[in-house]
Amino acid sequence: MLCGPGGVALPEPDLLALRASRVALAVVVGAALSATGAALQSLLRNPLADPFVLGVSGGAAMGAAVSVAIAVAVGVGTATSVVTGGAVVGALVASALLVAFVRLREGGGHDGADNAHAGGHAILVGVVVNAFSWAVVATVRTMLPAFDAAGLSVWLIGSLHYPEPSALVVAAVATVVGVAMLVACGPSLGLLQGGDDDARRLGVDVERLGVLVVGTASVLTGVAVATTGVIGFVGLLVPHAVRRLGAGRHDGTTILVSALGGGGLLAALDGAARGAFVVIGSELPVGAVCALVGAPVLALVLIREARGREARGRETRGRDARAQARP
Amino acid sequence: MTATRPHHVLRLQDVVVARRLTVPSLTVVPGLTVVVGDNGAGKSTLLDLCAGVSRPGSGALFLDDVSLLTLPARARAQRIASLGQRPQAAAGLLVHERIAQGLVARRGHGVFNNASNSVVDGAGADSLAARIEAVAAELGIAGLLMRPLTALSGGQRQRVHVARALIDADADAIVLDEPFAGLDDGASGLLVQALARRRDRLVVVSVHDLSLALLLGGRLLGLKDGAIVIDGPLPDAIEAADRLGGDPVRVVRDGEWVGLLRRRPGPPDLSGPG
Repeated sequence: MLCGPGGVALPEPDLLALRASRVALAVVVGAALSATGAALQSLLRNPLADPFVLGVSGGAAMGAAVSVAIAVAVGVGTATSVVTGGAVVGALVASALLVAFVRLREGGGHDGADNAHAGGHAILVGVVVNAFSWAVVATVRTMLPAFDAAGLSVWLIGSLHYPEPSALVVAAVATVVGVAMLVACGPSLGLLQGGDDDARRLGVDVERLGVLVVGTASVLTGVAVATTGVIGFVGLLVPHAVRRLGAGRHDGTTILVSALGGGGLLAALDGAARGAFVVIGSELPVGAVCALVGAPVLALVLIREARGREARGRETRGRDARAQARP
Repeated sequence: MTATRPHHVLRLQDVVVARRLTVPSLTVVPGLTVVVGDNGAGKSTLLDLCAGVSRPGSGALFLDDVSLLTLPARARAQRIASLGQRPQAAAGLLVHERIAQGLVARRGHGVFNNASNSVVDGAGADSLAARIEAVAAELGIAGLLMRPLTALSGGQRQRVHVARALIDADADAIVLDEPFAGLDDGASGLLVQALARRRDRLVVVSVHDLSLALLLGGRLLGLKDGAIVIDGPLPDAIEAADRLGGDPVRVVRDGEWVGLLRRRPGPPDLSGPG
């Protein structure tokens, strides 16, 4: 029995429905972030692409914080639609910046052979955007009255909560539509792996594909961030695992399986975050759990890939030497 | 090949690509067109225009009466099969998958007759696997079909890329940028034969070596400093190839055209002054 002020009995909340809504939110957000990560990895031909690492989530958080600040200043309420709109716009700005930079590095995009370093530079763009957006969120938080500011910390480290049914429905619909669009782009993204020029020769409208994928990824990230704040590493780790387990022969399949796996993983991690209550007496934000698990795993992946590349390099050099030794 | 193949024409009009290429007018008709020229003469720029994968600064490009500048990417790819310079491929792709792209990805599934699950085009009906094997055999890579592309040597890989561009018997035009790059003599010979088998089709090929141009025959386009300075049938046009660069060319004749040597500049003087 729950008691309100003055001992008035409150209606018994439907705990099962509440918990179900939280799990549903985890599934939706995990799916959106993982599908976005998989699609961006294919589009940028960069295995480290992820909405968090590339600064798209950061841009969304900044957009959300700025829209809250404006809403408070103007005196309108900080409705879900205002926050979501701001987050989507922020994500679009961040990814437009990113794409413009990658195109600049590629020098027109006709010469696929020189793109090896573009990936590393794309991540530098992410670092810059993330640093800037955290600064903006922190600044806005300081300027706002304490009541409005309290909610802003969610955009520094994401956490799941018990969502409004309407917000959950909006996020779920946007995610299903967005993931479906990215999956539909799968065959074209697969052809893109041979470079822009090669894809053009096979009939891919490279520019249109870029706009479509980046736009969809921004909307998905914006909606996810507006609902739960910045949750990193899910979009990076899940597609990696999917490709490693062999479910990613085709880019569309990778995106779809990543979406499903990401939903499951985030729900599980949120379960762990709530389980932390038993140990440390307080619930962890799921964003922290993701980073605690994700960062070391990512480090391991990077080390293994570097070792693999070194071994392949030795093998290639050996084969070339043998080929030359042949009369 | 059937004699009823439609007659396709590629036309360039007043095409200018800043600092790279100027073509007031060029009409390419069915048959082999061989493009030669020194590095930086504009070969790749011309071939990318012909393949419809790049846009000129100004001017017009037509395949038959359709402008390549307004044709959607998919429709353009369905009509023109092409090979770019330094082609790449996704890691993990197998050789037969790469070659199949030339039919399946380029043409879309319309190329298949669903009832028999076979490829139906101007060369008849056949299974996709048979088509892949046929073009692979032409280029001497039939034994490599199940290997991952990344496990092949550079020359073998190049042959796979060429096979992808040649597999479609229905492409209106075939545009190959330096298909002989990295090929050994045996592979080059096979490719010369494969191109000879397609000489009733509109084929544009760039080569870096005049002796290959001579082996191929057909029409020679010589580029120098972004302009077409030679245009004529091979081997006659080779006499004019002197105009291409500073190095004079010498034709080795032994009853027939067997090759052509490009006299190289003498070895650098290493002794130095004093």
